[in-house]
Amino acid sequence: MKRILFWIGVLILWWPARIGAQEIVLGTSAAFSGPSKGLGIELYRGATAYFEQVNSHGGVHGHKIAIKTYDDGYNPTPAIENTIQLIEKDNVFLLFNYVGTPTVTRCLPLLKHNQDRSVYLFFPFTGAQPQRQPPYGEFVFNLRASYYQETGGLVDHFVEIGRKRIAVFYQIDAYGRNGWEGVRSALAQHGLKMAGEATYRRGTTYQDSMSTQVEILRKTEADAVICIGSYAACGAFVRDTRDAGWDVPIANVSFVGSESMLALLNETGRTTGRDYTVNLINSQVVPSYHDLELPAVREYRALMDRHNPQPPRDVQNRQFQESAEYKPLSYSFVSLEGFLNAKLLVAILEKMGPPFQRHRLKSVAESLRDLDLGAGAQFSFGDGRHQASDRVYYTVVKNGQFESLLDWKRWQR
Amino acid sequence: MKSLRLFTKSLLILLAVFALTTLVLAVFIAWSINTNLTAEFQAKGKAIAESIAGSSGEVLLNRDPATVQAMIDERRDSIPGVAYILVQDNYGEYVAHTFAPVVPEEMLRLSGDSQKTIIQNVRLDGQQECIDVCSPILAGQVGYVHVGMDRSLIRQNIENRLLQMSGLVVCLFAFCAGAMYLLMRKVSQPLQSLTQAAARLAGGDALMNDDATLPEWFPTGNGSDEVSELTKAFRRMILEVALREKGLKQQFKLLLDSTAEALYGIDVTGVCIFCNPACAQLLGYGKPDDLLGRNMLDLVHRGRSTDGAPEPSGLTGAVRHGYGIHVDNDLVWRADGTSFSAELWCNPMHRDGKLTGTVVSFVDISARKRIEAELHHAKQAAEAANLAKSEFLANMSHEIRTPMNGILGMTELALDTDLSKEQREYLNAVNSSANSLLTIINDILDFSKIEAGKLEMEQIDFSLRESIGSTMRTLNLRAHEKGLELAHDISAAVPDHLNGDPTRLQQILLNLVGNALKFTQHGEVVLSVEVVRQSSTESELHFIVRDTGIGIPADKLKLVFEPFAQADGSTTRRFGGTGLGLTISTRLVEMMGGKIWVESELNQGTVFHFTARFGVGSPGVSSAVLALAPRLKDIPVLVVDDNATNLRILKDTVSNWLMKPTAVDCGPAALQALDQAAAAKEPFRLILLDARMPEMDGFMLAERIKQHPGYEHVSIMMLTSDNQRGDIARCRELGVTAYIVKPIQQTELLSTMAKALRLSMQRNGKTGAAPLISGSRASKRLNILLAEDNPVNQMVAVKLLEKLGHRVVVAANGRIALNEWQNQTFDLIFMDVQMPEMGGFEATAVIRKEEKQTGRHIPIVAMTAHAMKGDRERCLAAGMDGYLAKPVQARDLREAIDVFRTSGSQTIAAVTAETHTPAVFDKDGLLERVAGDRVFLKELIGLFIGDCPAQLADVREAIAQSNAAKLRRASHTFKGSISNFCASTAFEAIYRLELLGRSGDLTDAPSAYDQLEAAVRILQSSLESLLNESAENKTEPALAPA
Repeated sequence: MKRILFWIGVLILWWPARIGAQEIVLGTSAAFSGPSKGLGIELYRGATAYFEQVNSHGGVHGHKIAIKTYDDGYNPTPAIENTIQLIEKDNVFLLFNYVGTPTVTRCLPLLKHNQDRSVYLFFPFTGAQPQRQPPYGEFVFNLRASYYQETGGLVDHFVEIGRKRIAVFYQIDAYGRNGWEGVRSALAQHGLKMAGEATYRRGTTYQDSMSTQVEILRKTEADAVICIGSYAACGAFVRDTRDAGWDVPIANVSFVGSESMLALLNETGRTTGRDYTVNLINSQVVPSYHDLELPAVREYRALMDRHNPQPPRDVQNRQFQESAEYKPLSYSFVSLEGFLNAKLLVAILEKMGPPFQRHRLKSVAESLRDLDLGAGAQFSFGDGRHQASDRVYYTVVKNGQFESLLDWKRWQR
Repeated sequence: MKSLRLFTKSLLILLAVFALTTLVLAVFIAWSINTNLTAEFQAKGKAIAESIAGSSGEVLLNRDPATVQAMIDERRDSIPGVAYILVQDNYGEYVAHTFAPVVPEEMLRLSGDSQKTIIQNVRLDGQQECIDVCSPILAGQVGYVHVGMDRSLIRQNIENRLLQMSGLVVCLFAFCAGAMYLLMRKVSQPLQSLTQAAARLAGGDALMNDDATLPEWFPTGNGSDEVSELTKAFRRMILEVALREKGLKQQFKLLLDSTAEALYGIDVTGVCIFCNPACAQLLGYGKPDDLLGRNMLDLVHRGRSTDGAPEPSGLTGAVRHGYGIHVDNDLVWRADGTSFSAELWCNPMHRDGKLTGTVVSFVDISARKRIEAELHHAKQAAEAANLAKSEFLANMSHEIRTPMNGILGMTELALDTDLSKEQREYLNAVNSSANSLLTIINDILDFSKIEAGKLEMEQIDFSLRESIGSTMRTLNLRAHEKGLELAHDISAAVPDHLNGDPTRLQQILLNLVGNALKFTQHGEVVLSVEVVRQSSTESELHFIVRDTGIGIPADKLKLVFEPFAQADGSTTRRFGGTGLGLTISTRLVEMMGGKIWVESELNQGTVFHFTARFGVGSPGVSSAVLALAPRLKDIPVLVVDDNATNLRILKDTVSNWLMKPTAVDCGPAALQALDQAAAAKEPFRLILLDARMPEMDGFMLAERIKQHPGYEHVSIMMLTSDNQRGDIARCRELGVTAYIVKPIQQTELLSTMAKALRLSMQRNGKTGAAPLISGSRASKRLNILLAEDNPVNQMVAVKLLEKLGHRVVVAANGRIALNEWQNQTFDLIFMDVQMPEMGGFEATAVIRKEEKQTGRHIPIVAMTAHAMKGDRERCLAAGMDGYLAKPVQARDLREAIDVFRTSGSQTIAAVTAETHTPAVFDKDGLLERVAGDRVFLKELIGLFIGDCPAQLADVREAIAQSNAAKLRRASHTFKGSISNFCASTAFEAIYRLELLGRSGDLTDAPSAYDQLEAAVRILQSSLESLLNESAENKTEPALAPA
């Protein structure tokens, strides 16, 4: 207790000195513990790799970038608490790299509430609709494509190869429900209806059984399943589907954290001798980190190698007691997204220039057009356009790693 | 220990109270929480549902499920108790929900109300119970919100509360138990010390000091609380008890010291624990203390062993196993080594159901033993003396009777010889004295039997009137001699057929009437009989004997029934007699269930009363005799008597039996009547003749009749008032069939006549010849074997029997008799019981054994001097047929001969042989019977035919009822009717039925009846044709003399 008080005292004394040292403080609330901690940590690591590079070269206009990290464990309530802390107490410059739809969705009203103070959220790790449309869309800037775009793409491809009975396995919260709505409306475009649906609760671990859900969906005789969930639950679903002898193609959206899921499936595959990665499709909103032709990918890999960023140390409001230490991934779609997020934010801050005032953020960001970050696509914002990229990439697992899916025909019916 | 038990009990009660309280509280709390939380949940759910509904309208219109989902997620996550939230659009599709893995089907069934929020219960997946609150969005236009509140939370809440409450209750309970334990200890410790003190006292620890205070260790109870009060009360009580015990001990000691009976107590091993002075003294010890602590079983009760080795007495077992005994004669050893007999009692002592010892008391009975032994000797001597007396009496009976037999027999014989007047007077005196002596001897024997309790009453059927008649007849002679009137009057209500001992009744009457005659000089003696009480099984009769004699003084009235006492010492001298008669009568009356008393007035007369009870008898001999009456029908009889009254009575009597009497008043008239009858072809078959008549008396007339050719076989019955010895002999000599002593009893007359006529009828039926009854059969010479060792008695019996016209072979003992029987044929044996070499019983046994091979049966009549009851039974058991008591008199012999001559199988064989005649009926015989009187014949046949159906019906009814006795009576009567017509077939049939009735086996009765009916029908038609025939050739009926 005394030790905590002591450190708080140290922090209080130390904090003004830091501001005085010309720092831009970003606030993050994400899953740094619990079943989805891989997302929060990898996103953070990718961003940190770039920020450290920037900081090591003098920062942005002399201002170093720091990240204030809070853990919400992928749950909305702590996310709200963290956000309030970040806004009112920490007085961060902006909110950055939030993870998760239910968390972000619930924090949106806080942004609107604090619109006088111009609190903006940059590049949350979610493709949900609420932060892309009124009444909260104006307070959020997204890099990635929406879930509607991901699911719409998946549905289009499946229908194209004749797989019209599409079922949905989703997390029963705002995220899952958003993906579900995406699939539903995409099918409606083709005049089709959902073959079936099954849900799971947020917080489900890989050890939990998804057999019930597999059974429910299998009964619908679906010829494709789209999963809107976390890597632990979706991994469990894939495992139980294959264990049940059902080889239906299963597609996951970007949020799933492909490498984390792959690691789980590979580990199980090593024990059972079964290949769980067959017929597994993952849609991504960033290019593959194997695509070394992209300068951004090369830079990403170089900086990741160089800085080898670690998970955040002083995470506030930790939600879960972890028994084992997290083993960071060398590269991942999530850390690449975090890297690109950081790079785009730095680009905005560079453009903005001192004085770094919050109320200027919206106009500076909206003025950004056709920015090439070396990721193979142009990033643009505009008045009313708060999503930088519309690109969706499809990947399959090959030789234990994700590769771009170019040929859908193999699932042709 | 006890306080702990108390504590345990209290603890249990406390536990029960707490458990009950907890239960009640739990129920109440559960109910209350359930009610409150349900209401709260409903309210909460309603608030949530309405808030979602209120804020989601716009979102829904925008079709933004993620926002709605976020909204409901927020509610669901933040509000405890929310199980699910579900938002439907207006098409019923789910916009957002919180179910995993799918929306339960139950949700589809939930309805909504567009106007208001509704609350309903739902059970999801058959498990989770929820309160579903449904609110419409924009009045149901956009959709509905369902909020499910989880009931399991309520249950959990209840469980938590109950758990908390239980914990609280357990703490409370523990506290209470502890408090109680402390309290109990405070109360129980003094109680425990009190208990221990009491136990110490009970254990025999010095109860009290001499100054009546309790020992110091006893709790004092100093406080003022209840326990102290209890202790004080306890102290007072113990002092009280101790004082009382002390008093009791003193009393006990006094009791022990003052009792004369020796008394001591021992423990289970036999060691003496207390002992009284009497005990010490009896056992030869100085003072009781000398015995204390010593083993009494070894010391005092070491048994009867003679060789010195101790032998356990019965007491040892009783002491060891704790039961009480009474030893009548035990051996007890004194201190000095001597012993004495003692009667001993012991009773076990128990405390708390456990045997602690035995109390033994004993008394010295050596003196009593001595007296007992003396008494025993005295008793044995007395018994021996009594035995000797009985023996003596029996012997004397025999020894006296044997010479008496000689005296009486020889006197009778002598009287029958030619004697001078003087000699006859002397001999009459001898005879009279001997008879008196016999009477006295009989009295004494009877009395001795009564005294010895050996007199037994018989239970046989008899006719009262007949018995009284014969008794009065016996006495009539004496009355006649003294010129006294002797009369008897039997009330009509008195039943005739009784069951009892007629002989003993006769004995009483003989005694009372005999006494009356004895003590009456002038006037009359009257016997009357009345009924006292009568029931279906018993009659009590009252007999009164009234005389006009000297009477008995009032002060002597009681004495008359005492033995050896008469009214006056002088009476004995004047009138003779033993004076035992009334005593015997008294005893006999008592044995007949009656009582006897006397009323008398000096010089006016005496009235003796006695009552007696009799059973109801069946019609016996007399009825059988009466049944003979029909057979006498139409038999012509001549009655001769000089006394007009007697003549009339006799004529009326026989007329009643439908005989045809001719009455004459003198001998010549009789002869004339006989002649007339013979001339009229209607001869008399019977003559009733008075013995004493002027001019020509009965004997003379009988002689004239017998001498008259053609009249030899007519039956003559002599009627006599006095029983002169010579008369019988004269009758026999003259061939008179029978004689009857007046006053004549109807039954006697009838039986005597029937006896004679039956014989003649048999002869009649067999020969179909002469109508006259032959007396020769009656006086048929019999071969008689007489076994008698006494020469005098031999001579008496031989002379008597020869006088009766029989041949006698004498045997001096049983062996000789047996030889004679084997060598000759005899009709009858008179057998003395006591004979040298071979007795009568033995000889009879041999005869009966040999007869079994031949199938014959010779009548054997015993003659015994024992005259004791039981002789008869012994005789019959030995196979004898009859029995005579010595001294044997001529009349007894004659009666015996009459009885046994006609009995036996020979007679029946004769009857069956005689009836094998094929004719329907013997017409000639019938005509002969009616003496050719066809008018009478017509009447007879008419009567028979008229009577026949009824009689047949009687027989038939008896067979139908299987009533053997009735069949016997009915067929006997009918047989009498049939026998009139000499109808052998019908007679045979009816006789067979009668025999069947007598045997009791009615199996063949129906067939026999059929035969009878057929025979009777033929007989009827034959008789009718005979009537017609007789109507055609009318014959003048023979007129009987008027």
